[in-house]
Amino acid sequence: MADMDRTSFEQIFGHFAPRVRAYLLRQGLNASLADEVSQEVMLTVWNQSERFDPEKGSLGTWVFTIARNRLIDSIRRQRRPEPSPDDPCWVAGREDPSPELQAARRGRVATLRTALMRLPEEQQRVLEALYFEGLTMSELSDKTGVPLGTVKTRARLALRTLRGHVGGNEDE
Amino acid sequence: MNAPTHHPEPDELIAYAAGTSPEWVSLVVACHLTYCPECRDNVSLFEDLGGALLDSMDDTAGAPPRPNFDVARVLAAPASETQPVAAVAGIPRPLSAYFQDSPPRWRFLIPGLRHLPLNFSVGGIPARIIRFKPGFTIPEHRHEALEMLLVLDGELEDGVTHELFRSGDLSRREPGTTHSQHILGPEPCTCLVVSAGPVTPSSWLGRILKAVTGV
Repeated sequence: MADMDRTSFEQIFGHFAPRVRAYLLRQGLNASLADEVSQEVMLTVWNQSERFDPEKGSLGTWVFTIARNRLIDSIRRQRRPEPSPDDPCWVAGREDPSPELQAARRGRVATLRTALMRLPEEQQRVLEALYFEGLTMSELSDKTGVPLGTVKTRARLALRTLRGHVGGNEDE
Repeated sequence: MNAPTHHPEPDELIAYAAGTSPEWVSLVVACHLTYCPECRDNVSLFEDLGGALLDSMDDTAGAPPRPNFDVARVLAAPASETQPVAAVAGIPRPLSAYFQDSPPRWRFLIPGLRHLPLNFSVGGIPARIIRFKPGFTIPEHRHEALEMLLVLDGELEDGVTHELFRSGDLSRREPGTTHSQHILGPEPCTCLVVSAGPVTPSSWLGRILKAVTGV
């Protein structure tokens, strides 16, 4: 992102650094480590700002993936295998979406954020457990005493609602 | 090439996007994604959902107000993340980081089976890339823990459900299930096999299972 200059980065920092820190705390880091790692994540955001293409995705998603990857490699000391489009095994799909679809994707995070707030609280809880606590649906069921079928139904309903808002296909 | 028809579970794709899945599940999912545009679309949506959840974080008190690094400094370009890794024809790239041999080479296991050893195991059980000769049958066995088998090349039939698995298809075996598998067609079949626990053979052919599962 060529236009991420100092001033705009300071705004981005002001918005995302507290959120990244809150995310890291939810993942179980203590306050001082969360401070340190959130600074590292924001440094990466600044360092790699040229790689961010606002035509292809949202800033929030990009920051999220950087925080996620940092958590996996620095804290959990694991690899995160990723597919790569230049792999000879790669099977191409609709990677070149229509301009309409691309425009829809750009606004997708904002749409999802609004839709998330309108979900019933128990559906929000399921998503938060999956994203922030690293629980599988059956672990969430064990932890909360909510039957597995109910957890799955809540997740399915949440995803269906969210997909409906962003115009994706609804079948799972 | 046709897109896969047997996919990871939705919560496995969410966990992959959320970064909460164990490494072995991420490895299988990343290999599946190489072949599966549909699941890549889903993972992209689930990453946007992660972005939306991050943006909705409200317990933001006590956060560092300012960068502790100098944003005025022109920072060095980050080192390229693409390290040159040995590639093997027909083996998806996410596996390259785990090859045991350099250069990677197929090793003999038992007649009809070769494998590419990986530096990766789950609870002491090695993950394997196995090449089965045409017509090979994996005798009936019971899974004591979740097993994921991803077909990389060739064709395999489940002896119990009679489902067909081709390139990119994921066969998940839940704990406590019993099945056999058969290689179909004239070509060898190459699979990534990762299991979270042992299998118990239902017959004297346990030697073959031992070779397949490494336990």
